[in-house]
Amino acid sequence: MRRYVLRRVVLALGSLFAVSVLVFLATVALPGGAARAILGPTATPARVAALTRSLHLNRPLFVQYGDWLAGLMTGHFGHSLANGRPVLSYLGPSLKDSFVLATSAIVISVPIAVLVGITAARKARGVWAWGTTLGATFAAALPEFVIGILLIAVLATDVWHILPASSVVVGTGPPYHDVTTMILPVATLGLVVSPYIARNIQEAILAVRQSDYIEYAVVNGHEPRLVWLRYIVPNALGPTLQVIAAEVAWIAGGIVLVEYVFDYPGIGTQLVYAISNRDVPVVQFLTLLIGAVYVFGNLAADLFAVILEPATRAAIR
Amino acid sequence: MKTNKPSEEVNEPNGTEERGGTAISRRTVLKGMAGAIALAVAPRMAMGSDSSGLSAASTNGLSKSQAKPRRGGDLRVGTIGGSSSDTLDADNAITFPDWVRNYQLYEGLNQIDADGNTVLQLAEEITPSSDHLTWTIRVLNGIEFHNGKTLSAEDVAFTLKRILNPKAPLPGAIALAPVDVSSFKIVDRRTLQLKTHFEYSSLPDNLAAWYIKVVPVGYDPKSPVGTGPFKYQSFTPGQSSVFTRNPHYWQSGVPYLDSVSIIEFADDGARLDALEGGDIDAVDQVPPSSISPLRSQGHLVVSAVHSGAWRPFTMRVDVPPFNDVRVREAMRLVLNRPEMGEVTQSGYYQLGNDLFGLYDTCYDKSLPQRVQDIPRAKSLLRSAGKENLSVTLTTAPIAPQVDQMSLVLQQQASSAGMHVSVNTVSVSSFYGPGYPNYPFAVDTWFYTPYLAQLTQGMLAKAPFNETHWDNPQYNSLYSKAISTFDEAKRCEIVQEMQRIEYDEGGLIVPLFPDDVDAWNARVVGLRSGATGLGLGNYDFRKAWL
Repeated sequence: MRRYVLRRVVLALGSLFAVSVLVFLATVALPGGAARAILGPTATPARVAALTRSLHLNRPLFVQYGDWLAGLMTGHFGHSLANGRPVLSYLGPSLKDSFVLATSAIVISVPIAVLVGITAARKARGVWAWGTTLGATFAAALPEFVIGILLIAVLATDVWHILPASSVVVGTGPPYHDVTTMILPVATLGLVVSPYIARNIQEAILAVRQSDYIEYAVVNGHEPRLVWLRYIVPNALGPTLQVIAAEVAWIAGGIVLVEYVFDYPGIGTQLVYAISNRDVPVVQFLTLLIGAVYVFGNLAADLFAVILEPATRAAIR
Repeated sequence: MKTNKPSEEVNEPNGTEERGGTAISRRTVLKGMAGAIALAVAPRMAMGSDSSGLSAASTNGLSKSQAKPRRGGDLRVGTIGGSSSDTLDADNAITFPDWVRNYQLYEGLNQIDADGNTVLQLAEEITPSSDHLTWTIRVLNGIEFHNGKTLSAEDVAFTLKRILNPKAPLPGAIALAPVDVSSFKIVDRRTLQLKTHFEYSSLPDNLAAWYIKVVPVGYDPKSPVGTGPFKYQSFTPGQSSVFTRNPHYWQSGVPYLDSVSIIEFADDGARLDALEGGDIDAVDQVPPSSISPLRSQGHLVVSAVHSGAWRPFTMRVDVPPFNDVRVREAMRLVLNRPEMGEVTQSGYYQLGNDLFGLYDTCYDKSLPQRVQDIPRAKSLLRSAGKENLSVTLTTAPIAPQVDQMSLVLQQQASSAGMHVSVNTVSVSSFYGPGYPNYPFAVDTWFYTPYLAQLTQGMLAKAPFNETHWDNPQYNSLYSKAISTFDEAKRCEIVQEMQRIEYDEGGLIVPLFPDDVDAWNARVVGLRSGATGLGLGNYDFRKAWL
């Protein structure tokens, strides 16, 4: 078991390393280069050369990458090429804002999805079950930016005007100071992850309900509500935890598009800027961060599976 | 001092003149166009005018702009086009949000004002010697920087040296290239003398550029200090910035506002929604197609004025197919310019005649306006052996409506048998290594006086010479023009040059788009301008809420 976990962690770190190399190469392969991208329309050959020199961009690629990696090992994430600020302090507010967005989405939508799934499983043949299956399939089929744009169209600009279409900070202060700007982005993220969770727990419960030990408990006269609370739900939650962990991991990447749709000032927006500016240190940092959340989130999901399901645990021995 | 036709107000929003506020400026910057200014009025005034002002809903019988300006308040301006590379550097502003910030913090020795005139600002004198090789620049007395330091000739020298630094040249280095940095002489506290390498009659116009602003000795963009009406408070690149009133601003009585907040949006739709919803107070660069929907809101003012900003199509004259002047002329003749103006600018434009420098005193208005002439275009192509010409136009959304104009050109060109395939790239790719060397592309410029524009885009070694123009006769006329200090004689030379451009040049200037801005009616004292920098060069000195 310990060896299994160790192996998975090493694999996870290896994937992150591979990602960092690939993203670095992809960013420098983009036409232009940071100096030209930053200077934009006012770039003259003399100014591009001067800025390239001052940003140390004329060094060989593996030297630049090695430098960055060495800095990473010592906890220095470098400076943004675009504005010269240290990456961590520059991204601090955006990291906080994205964290708030992601956590709000998870904290609100996961319990709701679980409840919806349980209810759908309880009323197994009713409208609720049928509606959940249909709604979940529909929501699962739509990409996150489509959901976001649809919500904007319906609730902010075209049908009703009850919520703001953008989360841009007006005045000083983070977006969550004005809760109305958070509602639509949180809802969008929630609508993307909920379907799988709801459907998963719905199916898991239906499967658990049919197992022998539940039948035994019912036959033995255990109160139905207790059966639900002490046996059915916990046993169904096991496999669902994997899905929840995987969905939470997904949010790290999915947040990029959602932030872009809503002008939310988080790491998604920063990543878009960083790519157009060929701002390698910022791109590397953000990709690593998102990658780490994704990889370790999925690792957690797999570990849940191993811990909670004896069958899987036996298989890895 | 040039006298130019003031920018015409094309559409009167609700139509009253600005009267409130004190006339403070010692410069005569705004005097010439009093009659042309029509500004925001509370819309209730227009709506309530038939109700004899008795209802409680009317604004006390007085239009707000006739009332006395109130002090205080924060003006929230929404911008697009920013990025994490935003900068507060006085002499290195690159994006629209950068320019909005720049005009709050900094000022130049002179400037191109909101009507397209080159006027003095911090300097009271920029004059050449009799041999035209020495210039005397004297700054006004008693102007303070935000840190309390008094503006002096040393600060001017520092600014110019900073721009011309060969190790890290700033955008103004091209315009100021003829200045001999080693010749700087501080004559007295307020006066700087410098020499140029050759006669350079366009030095004042070049100094007036939006990328040349005066900073104090020892300036560091990280703690930005200027002479402007607002001081630095906070700045987050790509997001927002706040500037507070400069209590020691050298023009007494202004600004009225306590602060200006600049909020950056990634998307224009969200920005306009925020304006409609009252989350921000003013925006620039309004798409013409949004003018009517915004006007119909009632609480918004949309202002559109003629402007000298221009967005040309550029044809390289040194490679096929446009190295043949007949093909260039054919492409110029194939355009239906009024149609392009109606389609892309919703009618908010002036016709272009393939020339720039619209408000320059010397601009040649006598050249006949080009109109569509398909038969002649076809016969030119035939004689050049290029019937059924196939060419790729590289375009990007570098400025509003540029990609729409490209599509209109594509469609209009097909009526002469030319097949134009439009290759749309992203803005950062467009300004990548391929710029400015595309055989057929687009570009965007603010209004700049004619000879100053040449140093940027029309001389053989100009950094943004998109057409790779290098005409010997033109070049020698340029040398004559910059050594001619008599304005009338210089205009003759300029008009000869414009004639050459008109006949043989590689630029297509189909139209001059209007400058369109919008603001909440509760804001008084805003206006649009003629340079392409919105909201009248982002001038909020006289604005109040």
